[in-house]
Amino acid sequence: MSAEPRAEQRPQFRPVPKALKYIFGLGLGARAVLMSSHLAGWLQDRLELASPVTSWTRMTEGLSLLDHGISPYEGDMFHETPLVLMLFYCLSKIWGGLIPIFFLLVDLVTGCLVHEVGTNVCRHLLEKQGRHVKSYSTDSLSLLLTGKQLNSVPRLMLGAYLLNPLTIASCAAYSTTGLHNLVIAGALLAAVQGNRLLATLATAVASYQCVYPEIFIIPVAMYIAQLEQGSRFSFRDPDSRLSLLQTAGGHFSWLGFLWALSFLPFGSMDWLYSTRGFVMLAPDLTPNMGLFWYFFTEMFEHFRIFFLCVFQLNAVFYVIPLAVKLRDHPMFHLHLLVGLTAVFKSYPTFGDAALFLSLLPVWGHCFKYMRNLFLVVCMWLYSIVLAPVLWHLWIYYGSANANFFYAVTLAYATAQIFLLTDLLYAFLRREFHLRHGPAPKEGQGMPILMNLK
Amino acid sequence: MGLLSDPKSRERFSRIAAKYNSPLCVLAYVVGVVWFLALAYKPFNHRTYFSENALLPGLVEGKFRTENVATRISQAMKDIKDVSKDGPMPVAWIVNQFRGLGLDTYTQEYIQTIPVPSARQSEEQGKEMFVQLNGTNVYAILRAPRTASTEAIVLSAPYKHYLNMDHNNHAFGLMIALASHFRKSSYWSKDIIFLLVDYDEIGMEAWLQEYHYTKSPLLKSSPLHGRSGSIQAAINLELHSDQVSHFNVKLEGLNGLLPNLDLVNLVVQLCGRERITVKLHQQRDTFPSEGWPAFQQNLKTMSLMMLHQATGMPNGLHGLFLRYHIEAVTLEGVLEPGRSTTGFYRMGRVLEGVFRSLNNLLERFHQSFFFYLLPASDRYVSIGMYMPPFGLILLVTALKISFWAVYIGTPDPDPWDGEENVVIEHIHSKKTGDGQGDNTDSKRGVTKIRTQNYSDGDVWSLVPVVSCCQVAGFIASISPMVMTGLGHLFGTRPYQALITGATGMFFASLFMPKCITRNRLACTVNTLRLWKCAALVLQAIILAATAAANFSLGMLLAVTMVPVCAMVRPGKLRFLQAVLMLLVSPLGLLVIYTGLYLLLTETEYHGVVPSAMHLCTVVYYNILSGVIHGYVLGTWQYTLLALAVFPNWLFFWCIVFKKRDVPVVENKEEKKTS
Repeated sequence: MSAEPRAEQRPQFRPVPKALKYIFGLGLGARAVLMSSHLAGWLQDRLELASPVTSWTRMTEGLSLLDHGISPYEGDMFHETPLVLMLFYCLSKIWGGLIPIFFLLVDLVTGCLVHEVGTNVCRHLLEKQGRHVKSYSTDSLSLLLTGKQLNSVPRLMLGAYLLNPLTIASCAAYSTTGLHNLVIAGALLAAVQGNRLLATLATAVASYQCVYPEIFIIPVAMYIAQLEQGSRFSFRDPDSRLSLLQTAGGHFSWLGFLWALSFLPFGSMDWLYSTRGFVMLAPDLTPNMGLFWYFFTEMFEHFRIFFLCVFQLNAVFYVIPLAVKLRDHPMFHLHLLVGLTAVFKSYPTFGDAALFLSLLPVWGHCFKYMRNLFLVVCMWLYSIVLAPVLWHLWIYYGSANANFFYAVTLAYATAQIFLLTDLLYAFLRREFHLRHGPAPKEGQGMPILMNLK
Repeated sequence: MGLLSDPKSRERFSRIAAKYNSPLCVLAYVVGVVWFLALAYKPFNHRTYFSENALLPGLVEGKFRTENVATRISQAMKDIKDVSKDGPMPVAWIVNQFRGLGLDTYTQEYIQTIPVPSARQSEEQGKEMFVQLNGTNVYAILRAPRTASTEAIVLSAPYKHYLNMDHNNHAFGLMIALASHFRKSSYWSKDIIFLLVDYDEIGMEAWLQEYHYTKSPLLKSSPLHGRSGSIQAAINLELHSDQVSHFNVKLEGLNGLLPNLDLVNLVVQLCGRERITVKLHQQRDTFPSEGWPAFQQNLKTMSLMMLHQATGMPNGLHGLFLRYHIEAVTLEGVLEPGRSTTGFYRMGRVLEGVFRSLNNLLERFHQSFFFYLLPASDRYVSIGMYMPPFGLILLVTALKISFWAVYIGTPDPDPWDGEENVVIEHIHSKKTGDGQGDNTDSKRGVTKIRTQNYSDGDVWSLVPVVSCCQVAGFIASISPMVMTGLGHLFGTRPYQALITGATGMFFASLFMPKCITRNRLACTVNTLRLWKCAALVLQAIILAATAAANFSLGMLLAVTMVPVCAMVRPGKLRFLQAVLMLLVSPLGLLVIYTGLYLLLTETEYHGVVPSAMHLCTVVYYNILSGVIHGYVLGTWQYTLLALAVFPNWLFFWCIVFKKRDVPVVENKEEKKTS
């Protein structure tokens, strides 16, 4: 079959609005019920849902310090950014009842943003497929995306975000992780729309708020440059370089603007050490679902700086090899980074992982090449169930010890890493099949085996 | 990473796992069970040892000589009792005894509301819905001369005995004797709290809650006026007479918690030093300690410990301390006719030794094991030793999971079908938009023989069935309370209403498969495989989490549920499967294990019918106390069974009765892409 008739049947992508209102209603209802139940107080102190940065208990502490005219950043208690603090301060001054409503709204808006991200990425994928379809193998017709296939994706993504028990619990715990997810989802949406001004602003807001999205600027810059340059894009091309630099420049100027804005309420930059410094230096070793705390409690103090560098580099370094390997797929790269930072950041919560999970349906067409999906699902379930049990045994009953809980956090991180690597593998393998047909043969006519070493 | 990334070794693994699946499962299960049972045999377990060197047991010379005080006080208390049989605790008299020794003495009053009638009160209160218990605890603090009351040790005793409601006057006598001896010494570096508790568990809970400033809505108590520091350890004393033949050491606490093995070991060693026999669950250590009879005896002791631990109910007041991270054991002095006996002198010396060792502690108990089983008083099986066999038993589930996971979505010969491999499929043209769009031959109503065309299991079909099961579990968890409330309206006796609530949902849900089979949730073979897979995954999670929190419960559930649930398949031999499933249902397991417990403990056999009646009565009381303890003390065994184990079991039950031959409604291809 030639490429011509395929080009004519350009797949139509029409997301279905069906069932959206049910998802919204159900998500909202579950959150409201959980918030008003007696479980809410218990959830607020769950370390799986609230890290020292995002904990609501600490936020109330910050608000009360602010009320007494003391800068919350002078102590070692409060680590949220000044703009968020001021936001909650205003809300609590207007009416305390606004705060739960605000958290509900944040999650709903994030859901909408995720839905829009889905719509836009699907459209982007189809357009891209249309551009590249000529270079694909003629046998790979069955692998091509169809509009029908993608129509339900945004809906699934919305459901995966709003109906995910992890985000529901996180919202009921008043964890500001919801807010972090909102800005990250905003960054993803702005990025996929390709407007430089908006995209740089959104990544700046996300990295202002949660530090790690700083690395998002690399795939975002590549994406914008590719939009502008089209097929001429190359790292060596001066125009492309200029475009990359412009995006980076835009990002950092927005970030500078946000920092300046945060300077105003307190008239000092102390907050920078308490927020960004706190995330980077990880001084609080209270157990959480991340990899930092156990390692750093066990370590001799004089190795601390070295390993801090190693751990933080580990969190951000993958952006470079991925930028090389996924040069043509910056959107996929960006989504992988969301997952990577959710595992390797210094204070992760379940909410962070939930955002990445809700992005997965858009890559659903790669799932059939994934090999460990079942294993990952099982590991995930186990760690989510066992984490509170072993925490209880360790902290309340004193019969288990730190190793028990750490084992669970390790399993949790491993599950996420498996998921990420598997997704990357599946994506690359699909790309390979698109170019070489669904069942490529070796020289001797044997079906070849794919191997990841 | 070879297995995860290399398709060749992966294929080899899955081929082996699929080909030899059943033999491997049987092997894993048999080896797991045999290995676990073998742990009771001496060469496979270890001798207990002191991990905490600070205890220095038996290093000091016992100076206890006030046994005559014990005799006098216990007699005096008995005389008061005879005047007011079954009356309230003689608080003023007890306070006077402590005050007479010059101790800081305080009382604490409390009111416990029991949302259901308590076992004891029901006869008197009749149909009264909420029972209120009033009680008074008396405690006295011996202030340590050497420190500023930062740490404390507790010697507690219930006012009445746990089971037969006899007065515990001997323990009180010994307590006063020890107090009078202790207060003369200047070496105490920890406060000693002497606590006499009214209404055993409830009084203990009231005191501990107030001491640690935790609150419960059902328990109101007056504040404690005297306090000491953080409690390091506690010894609870129950004496049935002034002469005892042995000490029965009770360990199992609330929700299967156990005290640190060092404390247990300390008590056992010091009893040995004073030549007092120690028993666990009234089981004597055997001599010689090897050989078949010894193995049988050790296995019996270990089984009794596991059965007790699995209930999650404390078998003495010490059990409530454990929740507050305080190590505690109960010493029950028992008089067995025909054995040599020991008086207050030796008992006092044992307790003196224990308290002097505890006095030496520099930090909290943390060294030795918290997770262990004891086949004999001086042998232990630690978590590292009992987890591998448990893992082997769970491996059966894991193997089955991998087996079905391999087969989901394969057109390979169906292991469920054998020769009748051909599946008649009714292809429905209802497409939900995620189909491939290219099977032009799919028309409504066309029946065709499926040979090559296959579909993955329909993941979404899990949602209704799992949620139905969970809702059933939720109803079962709240129904005892609801039924008690309803029963009150209709004048039913609260007991019967409660039992109806607890078991009614179970019997009602047996008919759930009927409801599911009739509706649109008909399944392809692959969907059923997926169901089975999901049910096994859930089961493995529940068992692993349960075993982490309460090993005995996890093990007892696993050893029975795993083989049956691994075998379950829809269709064939439905009656046999149903019988097996009923046996491993939560209620069935309760009956089986209660029967096992009675078999191990009761020596006399009265014939089939009386034994069965007795079994029913015990099961009835077990359910009652499980539910009531859940509300009063916060044990979670009933909730766990209702919210996790029961729904999972129901899921398997639905699979058994799932009709596979029902025409398939949907043929969704490429389902995995969504």
